[in-house]
Amino acid sequence: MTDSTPWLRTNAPRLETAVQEWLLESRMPLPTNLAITIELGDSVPAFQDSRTAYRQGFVEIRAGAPQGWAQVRWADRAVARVDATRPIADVFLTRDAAENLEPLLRGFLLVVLIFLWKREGLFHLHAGTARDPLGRGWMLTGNTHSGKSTTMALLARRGWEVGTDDAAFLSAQTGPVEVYGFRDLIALRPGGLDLIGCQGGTPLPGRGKTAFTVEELGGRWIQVVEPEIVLFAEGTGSRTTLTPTEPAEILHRLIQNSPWVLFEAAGAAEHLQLLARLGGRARCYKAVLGPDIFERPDGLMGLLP
Amino acid sequence: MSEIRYRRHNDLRIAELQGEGVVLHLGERRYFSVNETGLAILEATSEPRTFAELVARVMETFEVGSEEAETTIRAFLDQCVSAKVILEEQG
Repeated sequence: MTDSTPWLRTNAPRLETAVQEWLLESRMPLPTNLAITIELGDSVPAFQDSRTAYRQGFVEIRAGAPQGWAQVRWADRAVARVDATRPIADVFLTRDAAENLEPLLRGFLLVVLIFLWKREGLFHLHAGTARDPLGRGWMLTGNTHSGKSTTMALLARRGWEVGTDDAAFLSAQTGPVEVYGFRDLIALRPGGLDLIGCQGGTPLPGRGKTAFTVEELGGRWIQVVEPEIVLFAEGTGSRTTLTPTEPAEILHRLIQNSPWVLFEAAGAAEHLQLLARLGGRARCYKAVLGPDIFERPDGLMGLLP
Repeated sequence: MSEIRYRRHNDLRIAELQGEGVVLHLGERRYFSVNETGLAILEATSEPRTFAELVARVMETFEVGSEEAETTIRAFLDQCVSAKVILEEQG
């Protein structure tokens, strides 16, 4: 533990620096009384836990009743135990996990943080966030292969303010729903990279992607967006289309992209009401993303019905 | 003989959006939609309610006759009880 990171205690100084830099760079407000302990060792504990696991990528999550605390596991490489109500996590890592920073931070620790921020009333949603040149907030939700990152990179190239391409956090304040963007690199697959036509970037060989900051793409980063327009990405097609979403479908799609609402009783009502407020205030569309948006100077704006 | 009362499961969380209801069942980690009548019944059953109390509630809220209210509520309760969304309790 150091004075600069009173919330992080670890026996791995190099890892402490990496985690600290990554989290501070995210610009996310750290939970009050956040306490993370990271213990590096030869193996990680196997907690007795018969709860059904939910998988996100290579990470397994067990949360909710009857134990209360949440378990986040990356095979036999890393495991975290997150307190049921407080932003406190004990993390155990093998040296192998610690040497693979990219999956450790963006795959495993991000999920741990999702639970820690949930304790503070910030609820994660798989979504990109942006503000258009007219000052309107946009949110683009969808699964891993729905084209979120490429679209957010395009918007940054067109000079939009972009908050995140996937890690959005809904804030439980009163008034308009605010969505925080976890500032991180936007990672593009080769196909997306060709469409964006941007040189440079940081290669991520382990993921087969190239990553850019919003600024490298020509945009500006924005921390908080109040979404007026929500797009549910349905995949890619030959042409981009936006179709109004029926009310019954809006909440279903928001829940699909914020599955944590189903895990724990604590905060579930607040989380669900926040999703309903978001869906009730924003104009919501199903979006099929096509290559034509790369040819349109106004991008998505001109497609709004 | 005591009367049956209906109470929604403690694991439910409910939200409404433009007249449509969405119900989370936390214990089973699933969610589903209900129409506005179903939403009213689920909201009413946060406390144990008799069938007659539910009929009165639906008649008052939606301005429908007793026969229509009874048919609608019976069908909804049957589905919910079988799915363990609403529990039956002896008065």
